[in-house]
Amino acid sequence: MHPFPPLDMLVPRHIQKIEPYIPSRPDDVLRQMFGCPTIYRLNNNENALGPSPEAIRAIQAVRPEQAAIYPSGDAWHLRQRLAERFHLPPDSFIVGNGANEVIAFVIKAFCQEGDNIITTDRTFAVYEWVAEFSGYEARLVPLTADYSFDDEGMLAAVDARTKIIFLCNPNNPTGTYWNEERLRRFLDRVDGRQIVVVDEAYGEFVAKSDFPNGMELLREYPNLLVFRTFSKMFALAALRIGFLAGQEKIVDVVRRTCVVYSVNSFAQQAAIGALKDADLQIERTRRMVQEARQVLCEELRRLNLPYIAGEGNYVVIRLPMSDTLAYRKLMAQGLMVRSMTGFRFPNHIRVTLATVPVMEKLAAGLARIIA
Amino acid sequence: MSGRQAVELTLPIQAEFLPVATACVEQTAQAYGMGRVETMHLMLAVEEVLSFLAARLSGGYHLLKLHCRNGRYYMEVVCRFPSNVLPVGAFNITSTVSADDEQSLAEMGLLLAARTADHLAVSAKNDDMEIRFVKNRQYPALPTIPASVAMQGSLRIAEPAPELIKQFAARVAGKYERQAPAYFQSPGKVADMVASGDYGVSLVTDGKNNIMAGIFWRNGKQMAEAAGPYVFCAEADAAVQAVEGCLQKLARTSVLCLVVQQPTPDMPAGYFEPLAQDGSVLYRQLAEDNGILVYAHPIFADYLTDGYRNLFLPRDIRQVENQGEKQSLHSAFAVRMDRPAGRVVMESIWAGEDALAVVGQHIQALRQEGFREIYFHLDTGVPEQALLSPALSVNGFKPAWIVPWGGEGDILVLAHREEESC
Repeated sequence: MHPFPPLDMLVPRHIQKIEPYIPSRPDDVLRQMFGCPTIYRLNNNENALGPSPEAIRAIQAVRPEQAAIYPSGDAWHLRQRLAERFHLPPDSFIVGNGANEVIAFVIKAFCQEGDNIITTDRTFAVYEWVAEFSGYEARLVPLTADYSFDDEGMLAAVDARTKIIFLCNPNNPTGTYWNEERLRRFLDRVDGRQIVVVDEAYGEFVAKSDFPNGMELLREYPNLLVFRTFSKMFALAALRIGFLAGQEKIVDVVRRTCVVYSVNSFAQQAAIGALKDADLQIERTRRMVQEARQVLCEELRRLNLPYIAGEGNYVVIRLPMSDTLAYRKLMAQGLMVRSMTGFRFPNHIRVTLATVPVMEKLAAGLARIIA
Repeated sequence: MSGRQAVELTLPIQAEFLPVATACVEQTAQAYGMGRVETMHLMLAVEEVLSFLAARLSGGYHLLKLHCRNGRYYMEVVCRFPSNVLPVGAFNITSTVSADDEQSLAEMGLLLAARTADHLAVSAKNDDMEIRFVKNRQYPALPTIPASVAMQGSLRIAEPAPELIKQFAARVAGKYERQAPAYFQSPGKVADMVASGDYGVSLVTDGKNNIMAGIFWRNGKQMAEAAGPYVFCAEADAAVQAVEGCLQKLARTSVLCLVVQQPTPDMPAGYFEPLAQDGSVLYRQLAEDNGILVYAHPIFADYLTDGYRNLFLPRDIRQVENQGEKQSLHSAFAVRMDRPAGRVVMESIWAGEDALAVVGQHIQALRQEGFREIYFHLDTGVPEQALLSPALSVNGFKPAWIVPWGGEGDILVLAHREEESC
């Protein structure tokens, strides 16, 4: 046998320090391991209503022989539809294999050795992960006491090597958000010196009138990039498709780091379908989420369980026990939630707001594990 | 720092090279600032190991890699050599003795080396064997114990600056005395332990930067082991903040689980799960557990089944036992000795037909060496290890607790009680 390669020398130090992310096992395996006949997936903030009628029609229209043909390398048709919807040029958009991929594109485009990015300690982990496994420092500014992003703290953390500031609006998992006035004030103070990414993965769930639409701020702020996804509101998570938007000059820089052809044809077709009846999907999903939030929060009050219920299709619940133990106990009842120690919220779980009957099942399950 | 100060020497495993090896260790220890006594102990340990290996080689030309590392609060010497240079059984600390021969027990080379080191471990790594020993640096004993201070202002998580860590250690030593690990008697050492990266600490202070609570832990690849929490005020939230600070620091690292042996009465409720029945070992996972396949011999299968049920751990238990198939002739066991604590942990390197006798020899030798606590870590992720269960059971090892994700799979911790030995 040939000698094993000297990994100590071949693997960069910042990669040696990182552990691979281990995703959940498939549902059939989990059902077998936990001995539960059904699993209610309340862990990934998927949309329980499923894709919109137009998106379903687009998926059903996929012909097997299309599998032999490369997709549009830069999602040409989808970008035309996005341009129409958001009143921006098609070249303002980059479509990625899920929003995670566009996070990597942006970090690659702007950071080099010695640079840093700024985000918060309790938010979507991928900004921090991608920065660190790319060898850049992720500066984590703690959330404020009311769980919102700390604008003053983030500005204070900026130095000459800060390239990107990541804001998750509304924040995953707290559901807190900056209103338009606060976001504008922050962008004004950054004053174009750094790239500001506003991740609006859950933006379509917010009905509040003061919630900023990042797409509408792009013309005023050339350093702004906005992320959106088709995984959450549009229920296309299995197809992995998301996008970023920004002024063409900035997007052109990001495009240099893009992996073309990374988004498959079926995802592109489904996303085009989803845009056709987007307003219908948003309206019906918001209604379901609102009902679910109301029912669940009532139950949580009855159970004396503190919770953080902001915007987005999720609620964070504080438990009088280890969240990882709660995960196992709830899984044994077929209720799959997200344990939050990994989000630096020990003894909290995050649950997806789904249909009312499922929320009632969850409440009953919680009652059993805290009894 | 420790990586940049590492020293490595490759030399033939021959008695003539003993002075070369000891000179290397001596010079390196001096460069690391180790004291004269500790340096002498390390030289003696290396001499014993090299003599032990040279005396047992059946011939041929073999090389030993001597690796010295400055661990800041300790110096580590690793002797690494290809595992095929010696027969399997030679790696056991009992390899030269018969169980009945008291004189030869006293003359075992590796045990002699262990007597001069604070920690000794024999282990297998890929195709190499490693004999690793550690000598702790000496630190001045605690000068004065600070008087208790009334809390002023509100509690907050503090960055663990060296002066705060030293204040914390002194307070722990003052309040918890012998209930806390001995290293707290040397605050400077505790500060160095954190600075080395081997340990972590979560500190809670009041508005005047007085330590009000803290928890201390040793980092591991998958598992961290904590001591505490230690609390110096009446505020119930102090312990909660310390524990949450610890969990937040460990989140998004490679650590999957946190174990607390002998937790203090200040441990807040609701953060950990008991592993040992008496509550002396607490545990918490840091990531979601979606189940694994584990291997168990029927002797311990019921214990594991009950344990997993109590812990709500999804496990597919595959029973394995010897059904007459030929095993390798010899067993080899790794030992990790913690002489100051009087504790030793045994693990399997190879399972062989002589396991029953070799385990018995280890127990006799270790008891004679004065070790009061003998544990065996049986890795449920390795099917061959399950085959050792009868030999361990007959020798008096009994299941004590399960450490989920402690090894390739879960670790079934077996404890040996002296009176139960056969």
